[in-house]
Amino acid sequence: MTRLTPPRIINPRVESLRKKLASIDEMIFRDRGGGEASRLAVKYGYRDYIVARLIAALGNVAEVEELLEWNEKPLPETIRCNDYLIPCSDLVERLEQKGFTLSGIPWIPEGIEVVDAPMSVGATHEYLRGYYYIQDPGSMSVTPLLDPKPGEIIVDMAAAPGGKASHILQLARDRALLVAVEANRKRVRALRSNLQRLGFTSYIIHRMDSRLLPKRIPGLRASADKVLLDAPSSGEGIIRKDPSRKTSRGPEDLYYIHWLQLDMLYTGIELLKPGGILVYAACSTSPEEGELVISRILDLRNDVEVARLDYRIGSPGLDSYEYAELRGEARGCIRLWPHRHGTEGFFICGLRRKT
Amino acid sequence: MRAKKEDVVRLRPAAHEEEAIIAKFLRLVGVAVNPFKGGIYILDIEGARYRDAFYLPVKLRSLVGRGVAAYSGGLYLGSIEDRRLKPGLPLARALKPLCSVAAKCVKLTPRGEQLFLYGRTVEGYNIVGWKPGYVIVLAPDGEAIGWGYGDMRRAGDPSRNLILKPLKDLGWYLRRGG
Repeated sequence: MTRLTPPRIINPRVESLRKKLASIDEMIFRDRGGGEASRLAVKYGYRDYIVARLIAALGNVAEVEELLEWNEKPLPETIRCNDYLIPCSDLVERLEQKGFTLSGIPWIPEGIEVVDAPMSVGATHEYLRGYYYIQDPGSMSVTPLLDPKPGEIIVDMAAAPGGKASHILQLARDRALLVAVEANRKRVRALRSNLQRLGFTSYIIHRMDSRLLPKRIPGLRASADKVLLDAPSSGEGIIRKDPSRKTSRGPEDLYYIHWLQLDMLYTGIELLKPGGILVYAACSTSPEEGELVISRILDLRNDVEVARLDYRIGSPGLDSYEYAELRGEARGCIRLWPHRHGTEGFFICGLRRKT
Repeated sequence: MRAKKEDVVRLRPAAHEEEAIIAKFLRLVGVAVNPFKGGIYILDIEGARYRDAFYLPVKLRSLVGRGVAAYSGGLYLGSIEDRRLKPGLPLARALKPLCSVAAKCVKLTPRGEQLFLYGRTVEGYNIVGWKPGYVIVLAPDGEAIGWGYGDMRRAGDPSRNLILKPLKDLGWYLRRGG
């Protein structure tokens, strides 16, 4: 049996729950395979356990095969127009004059698909001027759900390279107060560069483990209007972009990531003021990174509830899963599936801190 | 053990001397009154010869935190090195509205813009309204695209005497990552 090693957990209540659930987790996070899962895993080049869990989540082998087929298609190249600096119609006109063929993304007003490009989208003068950000369609669907408003204190707990952080300031017209946090030294440079290029100024970047925020900046505890946690994930949702994810992680990694996500989420709620909204996102199709995280945070804290967000795209979250017990409230979250929505795989959930 | 570069970073209010360095640069580009006075914060980077300077609006200052590893924030003004300010690209964008009143700005032709964004010196016939010294460089449509230094060549074709040397251009975002 694979040895399950947790991350260093900062919140004592999370650590206590982890210990309590250790034997259950041995079952949930064990390596799985056999039967249809192994057949499809061989056919599409996955580790068996990923396919086995997809079958358990979707409950339908044919649909899983459709998903795996979709994962073979590269993601379309998409950009997010920065309408803080330029009207999107002007950006489209400028790029079309340069020979780009563009198409709008129906559910994101600022989203543009690059159908054909005469040059790299990262090398145009418009890019250098900060008129757009290169971002995948699922990723640019997350921040509007947070509904950032001018004057709000908003924390982005895993902010690099800055796609969602810059989207927060774009939607709030650079008038929200953004605390963008990133632990990784190299990635924090990209975050700073992107926020500067896109013309935003209403932010502070902290390079630290965001789980330390309540201790390091006590004034932030229970004071954020909104928190975005785009959690580190297994990346199972971005196989269309990075096929190495089919085999690069094992169930032991999923276990590590699950507890890191839960620990970060626990901290995120600590930062929220009563009535505040947290949007949790993970670019994964795995229920262990989605509904199971939400179910466990609801078990851990009675001061939080699932918030219904204004979804324009997506399927409801799962409320049952063969390998783990899920809370029914998780159905109020959403999932983006490559084969249903044409995006990356994403799990998104709104949580409200009760007043 | 010596701390790695960028490991120990703190945003702190600028010292009087640092504010003076920034004010002096602003005067060089025609901005007589420092609009950032009182809100300038400095990021000390252990082991580095430079310090980064930012303008933080009042509301942001409370989010800096004491003793916290803040990495960046607000409007990036530039870096201070050898008692001089090397201006940042966001500062050019922030000062652009002053081009019509006080700030020294030069506009480039489309060809001039292309050369400038490749980090190349631009010659006079690609510059509209050349000015000497530090200037904000504008694209043909009036957008700020960086900082340059207006200079003169002493020999050669007189029509090519006036030049603009690039100091920092938007291509920096591709070449160096901000």
